[in-house]
Amino acid sequence: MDELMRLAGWSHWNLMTRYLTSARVGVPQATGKFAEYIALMNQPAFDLNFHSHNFPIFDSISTTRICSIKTHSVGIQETEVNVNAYAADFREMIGAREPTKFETAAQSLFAARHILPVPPMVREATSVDTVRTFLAQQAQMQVPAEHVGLVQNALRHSITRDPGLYNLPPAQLSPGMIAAIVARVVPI
Amino acid sequence: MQALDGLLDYLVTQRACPGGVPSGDVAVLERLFAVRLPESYRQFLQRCGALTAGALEIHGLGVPSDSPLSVARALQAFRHLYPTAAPGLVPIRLAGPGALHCLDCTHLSTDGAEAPVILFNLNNGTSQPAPISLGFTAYLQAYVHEWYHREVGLRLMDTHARRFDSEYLRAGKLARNHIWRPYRFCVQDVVLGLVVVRHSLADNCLEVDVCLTSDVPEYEPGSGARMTATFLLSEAYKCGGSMEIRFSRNVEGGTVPATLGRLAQGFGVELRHRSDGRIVPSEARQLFLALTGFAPDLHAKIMALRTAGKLSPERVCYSVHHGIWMRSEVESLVFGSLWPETIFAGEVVPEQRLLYHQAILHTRSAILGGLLDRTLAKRHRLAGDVALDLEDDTRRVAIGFDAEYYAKIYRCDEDLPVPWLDDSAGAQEAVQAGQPLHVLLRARDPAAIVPHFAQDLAVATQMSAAARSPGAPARAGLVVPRDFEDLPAGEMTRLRTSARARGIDLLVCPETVATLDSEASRRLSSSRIIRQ
Repeated sequence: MDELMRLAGWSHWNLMTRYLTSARVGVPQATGKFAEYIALMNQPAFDLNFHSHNFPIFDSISTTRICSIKTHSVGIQETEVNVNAYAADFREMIGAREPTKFETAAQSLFAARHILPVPPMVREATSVDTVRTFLAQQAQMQVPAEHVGLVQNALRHSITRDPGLYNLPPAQLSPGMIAAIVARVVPI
Repeated sequence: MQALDGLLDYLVTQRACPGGVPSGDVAVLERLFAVRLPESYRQFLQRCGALTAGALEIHGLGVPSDSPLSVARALQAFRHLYPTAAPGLVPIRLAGPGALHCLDCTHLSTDGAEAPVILFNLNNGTSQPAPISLGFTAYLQAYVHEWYHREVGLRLMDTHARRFDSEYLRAGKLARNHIWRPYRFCVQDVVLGLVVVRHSLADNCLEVDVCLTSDVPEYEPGSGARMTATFLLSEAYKCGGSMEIRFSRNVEGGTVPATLGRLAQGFGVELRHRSDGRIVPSEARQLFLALTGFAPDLHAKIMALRTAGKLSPERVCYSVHHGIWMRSEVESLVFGSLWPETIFAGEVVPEQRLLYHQAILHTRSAILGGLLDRTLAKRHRLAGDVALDLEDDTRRVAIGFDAEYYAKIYRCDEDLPVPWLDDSAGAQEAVQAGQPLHVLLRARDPAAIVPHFAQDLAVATQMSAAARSPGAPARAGLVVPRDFEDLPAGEMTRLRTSARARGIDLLVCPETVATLDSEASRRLSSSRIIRQ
């Protein structure tokens, strides 16, 4: 009888799941745009910049990370300039450059922490300070895979040369700390 | 807003929602997606968050962000998939594969309280012009109402099924008509309908205590209601009552279920006692006829015979749904026989020799016609030398009956191969798509084939000439039972040659008169005992 109730009272969501997984005769698979919709609904990352409201600095968020996605061309003529552009983006992402934009991002994320998929530290934040700290210490920058090494090297040099640009106290700077920072540059 | 308040209170007390969210979260949602939500949906988000009540799920807030109930996630997916769709569309419910119910926030009411709910087809990216509901409150009300009655019905069904199981199934007993009997209708693993019925001895009607239907996306919309209504009407007839159907207070508060009401409305049948929970005999009859789907001329003939007191429409419908007669066979019997009621009721017994012979003759002819109908409709496919038998692989053949000639008229939207022809005549051309095929039904006794053959050919020729029109040649045939092949070889050749000379196809059915008669006798006996 429980089976009967389950079948009779199937929820639409369960029905859809059956559509996606069932191989039973007579039960069609989800296809076309409907299947795409289901896939999008199940995508872990949330695109922050897709909507008309432009989210500052950050482009994608999920329950594990928040990312700023950047692409600059690094052709032979422009390598130096564009690697510097990546470094500037990184500083912006951690709040060391354009503090107003960073502040807006932190405030927006704090306000939307119950609506968007966010990492646990942000979800449980009781003040915007926690979100600021999270962004400064854990936000990641996604760059094209072939640029990752270049950008990491440029960052390493830049931090060593002038840690203040990255809000880092020179006295406490260690190789481990630099490695942890450059590791936040990840491939798209 | 008072109606909405009551509704939201009810949902909260039923624990059908995760709990409301602060108004700030709603504002963030609006800002994030650049949309202005109607006040009713805002209230819903603040009081309930989202809704998850059995089959009824409404997107909202206050659920984990990766939940399929999250309206933010639904909006994100929807806008990614259809970036050019109206920006004011907010998905609130996935109502089935490809069917998305959306709030149309571009058409907010002037006071901003409501927005229409529309159906968006995910597969082709279009929305239905007419809204499902004029406002979110009315939408929620309708679905919560349905959900409530579904929950009540399922609980009651459970109780009935347990009792029936212990008192009858386990005891190996059959329940009498006046006992509550639960039924479940499934196709494979999908439930189309659940009902609990009994015949009321006191009121001489069918009582219904549970009536739940479901719309399954693989089937035509309303299939569950159609099948359930057909069952209820058949049961009302079978139990021998007046055909009145009464729904108890457990069925949508003592009214005729909304799905059945919509079904009847679709057929143009007005249920005047819906709010009293009654379908009266005259309405039941109309609905039964509509559900059986007879052609308009046959429908009219059945009603005319009823008025003359010669035929019971309910009996005819029931015999179709009970599988005794096909609709095309009913047409042969109604138009071809002078006393169709005697056949549908199976009233004539062999002791009434002449009447019985008359009934058998018509029944036999109808069965022969039915065999030809099925053979024509069935496609024959071969994979090498092996015949493939595919489910529902049939042609769409329109079948008519010409009472003047006692002939069947077939038309098909594809080329129609003519079966049962004489192989020695060489390959026969199929009837071209759209062209008619007229076939004279002559289920004669073996001894009567030869004496009547010339006359049958003449009638077939006359029928062919009458049906012929410029540019549209009518193909005509004569179908006889297999007894024809028991004729002496010379005689058989002579008859075949004369048919060929007149341009008439001679179709020899693979069944003999004896076989047809035994089937006729079986159907007459079945007809006699169908009503209890």
